[in-house]
Amino acid sequence: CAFFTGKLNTGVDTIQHGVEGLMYLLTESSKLMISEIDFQDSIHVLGFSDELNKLLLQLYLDNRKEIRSILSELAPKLPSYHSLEWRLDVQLASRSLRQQIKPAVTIKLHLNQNEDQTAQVLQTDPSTLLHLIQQLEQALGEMKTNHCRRIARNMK
Amino acid sequence: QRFRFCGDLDCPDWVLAEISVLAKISSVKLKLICAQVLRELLGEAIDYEKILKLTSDAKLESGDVKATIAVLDFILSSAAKHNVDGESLSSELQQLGLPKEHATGLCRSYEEKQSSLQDSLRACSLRLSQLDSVSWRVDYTLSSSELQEVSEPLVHLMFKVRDRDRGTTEAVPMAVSAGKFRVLLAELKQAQALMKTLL
Repeated sequence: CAFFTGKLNTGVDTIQHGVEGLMYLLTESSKLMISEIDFQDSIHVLGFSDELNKLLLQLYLDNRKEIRSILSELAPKLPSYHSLEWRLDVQLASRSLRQQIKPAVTIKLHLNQNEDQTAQVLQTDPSTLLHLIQQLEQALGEMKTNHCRRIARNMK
Repeated sequence: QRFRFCGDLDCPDWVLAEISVLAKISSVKLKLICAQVLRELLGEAIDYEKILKLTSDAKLESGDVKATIAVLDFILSSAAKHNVDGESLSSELQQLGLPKEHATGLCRSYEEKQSSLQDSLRACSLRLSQLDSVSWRVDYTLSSSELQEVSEPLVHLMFKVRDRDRGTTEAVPMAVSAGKFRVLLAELKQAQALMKTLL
């Protein structure tokens, strides 16, 4: 800002407002993905010269893809899957009962959320695990139904 | 087709694709690259510069070099994971299109380090917490604000528990009366006897 103050002979505040205004114009336009014509109509009311309008339009068209990709990162995110560790144990005895055979699967689910890594430890017996796998496979199977396929086709 | 080194499952597509890249490197150089990847799997630092030099003859792109390291990493650790012997690994890799010389060299390096690899994999298996150390102290309480003559022994235990994710150690102190401590010791001795029968 100080650099441009010297060059353009105006106050720091003016430069700052100018930059902020330009940012707002570009982010709102990119966010709404407005067409060239709409953009031109919108800035026409500001009463700038034709050359300036053309420059602004070019600036918008050149940068809107990148601005949109940055804006997409700002949406709130749920924790996402990072990795999974597991182990299979058999409980043979405890303080209260000897001569047992109790298999258990211990799972550590590593999740990522906004650069934070968290881990959840879960434990289950083999039959619950099989049920879990069955449910997940059913969920994957849903993608192949006609209903989902129709929606996926229409989204493209 | 099922492969033992893939855990009796199909070989992943990317591994199949990268094996053809491996064939471009000379078998001697491949064995040396293997040695580097094994070092990294055993916890030492990988010498990326060395690998770049070894692959320079084959004129691989930088993406291919990384893929080579990745596929060797997968083959070696997966074979160790499923306890595959060198011979079987060699024949399975040849079935996937790796030339005989390359497979033999790779499997020789694998066999040398197989048990160390398995030890290292065993050590980093999922473990919820780890006891680092135990320290103790026996005190004798003479008197307290509640009772003038207490005259009882008291054991102070300090367990240092390691958090494997964060690499920090947490101290868990506790004070145990003589009676409770006797019970604790007896139970732990029973557990130890049970563990001995399994070893």
